[in-house]
Amino acid sequence: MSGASEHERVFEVFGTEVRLLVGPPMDAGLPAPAVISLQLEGLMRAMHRRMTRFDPGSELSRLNGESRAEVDVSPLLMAGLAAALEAAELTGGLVDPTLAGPLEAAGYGHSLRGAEPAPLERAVSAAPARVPARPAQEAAWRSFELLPGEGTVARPPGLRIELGGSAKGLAADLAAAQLERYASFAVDVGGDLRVGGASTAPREVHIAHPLDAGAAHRFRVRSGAVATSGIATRVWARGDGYAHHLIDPATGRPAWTGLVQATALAPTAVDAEALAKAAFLSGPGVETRRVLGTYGGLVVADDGTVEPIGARDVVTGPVAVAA
Amino acid sequence: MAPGRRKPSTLGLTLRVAVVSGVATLVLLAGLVWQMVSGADPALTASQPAAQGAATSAASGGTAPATTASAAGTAAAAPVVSAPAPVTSSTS
Repeated sequence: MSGASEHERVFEVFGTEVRLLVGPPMDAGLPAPAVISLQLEGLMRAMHRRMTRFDPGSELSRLNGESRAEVDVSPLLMAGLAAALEAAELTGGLVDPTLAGPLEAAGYGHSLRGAEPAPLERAVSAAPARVPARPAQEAAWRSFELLPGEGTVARPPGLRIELGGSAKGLAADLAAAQLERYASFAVDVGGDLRVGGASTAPREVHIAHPLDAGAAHRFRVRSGAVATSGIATRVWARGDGYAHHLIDPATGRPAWTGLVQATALAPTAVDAEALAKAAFLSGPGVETRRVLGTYGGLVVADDGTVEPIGARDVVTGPVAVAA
Repeated sequence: MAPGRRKPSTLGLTLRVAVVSGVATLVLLAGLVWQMVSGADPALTASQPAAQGAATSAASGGTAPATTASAAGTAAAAPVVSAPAPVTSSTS
């Protein structure tokens, strides 16, 4: 790849920054990097318009407010719902998409894009006793039934769903699917990454440290997904202390687990996002090592300590089960 | 769940989600191409004229030099970086 270049496109959507890097096409007839980047921006903006819970007119908001048990949905929203349920299934319900109510109760009822987060060190020092999060006993997410052949979703009326990180991961995966026949590509949807392409050159992936301006770790990945979940940019003060957006499904309250950030590698960004969030919610310990053990990752503890788990620093093939 | 509809087993749900993911992705991509070409999706047409123009050009067989004036202008302003450029995963 020496001397090769990539087209770069940066824009804001999903309440975060998206960065696309696209190398030259490998096949005649493929859109030029600048053109495919514009198409993918359009795709992501269409996804956001339908899947945001902050717009009462979005398709997701209409679904959440619908009083009928079965509701027609677009293929786009159907894909988002499938991704969210896949994340819940993968993590045994620890990543639960039915927590819109608790999120709003915690103070996250509107977009926090551009809002200054509370100082993380102060929030951590004021946090209650650290407890691993657990799945909700009722597992309400299992009552969602997707009927793609009919284009409908069945669920108990009143049960609201939020797509959050799953939508970002899905956006990265859909973009990556369109870029496999380019020499190289990277899709960064607010920290949910897909990298790959026809080249064999690995790409350097930095993992930001939440408590300083440096990197917590560096991987070199040829093909696969990397996602990071944490509270550094979504933590705020409220009357009785501090809150953030990663909710313990069992209690419905922000989870203070002893970790401030977790990163996961996986073949897809939907799975990496789910595993990173599950690792954060599990807190330090055996369960987190199990969650991250398959593909690897790392966690950052409340005191800033970085612990890589099961990951090779150089991933020369597609991210897969570690040998 | 609708009256009379059987609740799926865990395995059934897993398989259903897997099938739905694949099917929905294919349907989604096909639908999006149609939407972008036809301009039927207001999410694209209202705020993304450059993307719309580029998609139309690409769908009609055009590549970079054949984009609309607005798309070409946007592309010309975009930076080019050495490959593979480093990327950062962080909370957002």
